[in-house]
Amino acid sequence: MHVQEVLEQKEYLNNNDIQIFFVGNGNQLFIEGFKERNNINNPVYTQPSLLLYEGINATNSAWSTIHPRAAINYFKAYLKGENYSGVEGDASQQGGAIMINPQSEQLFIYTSGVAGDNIKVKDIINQFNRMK
Amino acid sequence: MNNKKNLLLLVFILIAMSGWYFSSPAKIIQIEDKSDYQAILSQAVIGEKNNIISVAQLTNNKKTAFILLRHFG
Repeated sequence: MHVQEVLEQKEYLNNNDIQIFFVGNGNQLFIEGFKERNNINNPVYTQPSLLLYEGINATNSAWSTIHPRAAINYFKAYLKGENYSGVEGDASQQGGAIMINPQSEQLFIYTSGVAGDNIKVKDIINQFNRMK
Repeated sequence: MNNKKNLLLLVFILIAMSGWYFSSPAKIIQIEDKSDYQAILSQAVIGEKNNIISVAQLTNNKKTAFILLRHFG
């Protein structure tokens, strides 16, 4: 899962003074299981109203889940041995990232085009470097 | 003649599939508008104990990345 890729590089993010929060869109009752499966010690949040997703124009369409690139992304995840425990949120909602530097009041957003278009940690750090 | 038609059909399908594959790319953009910036910071999220907190409170004046998940599954 993308979460594992981010967590593996948490130290790299900490060294760059960047804190990370995961935000889902399912019921908050799903958070505990999500944290257990991914060994997350930090708080995880959710926003079932999807207003935050809408605020960054995140993709929300069924097509984005059956797109050929999404199929390749599912296959890559399967080869990595990632487990899937069902859709615990909006099935057609795609993810993204919000990168905020409050000191310079700058904000970058990343939106996935299709399922599995996940942002890389190096891209997160590159965006923060651009905010200087 | 039939082989030529099949080959053309195959080429057409390959072009269409590759066009579809590269459509809808992921995007990174900067939010320049201050009202859009404030609108995102004022958004509230829910914690596992049903606690509600705003994006601005979570950032706590530090560089912060929020990873928005597709779902928790």
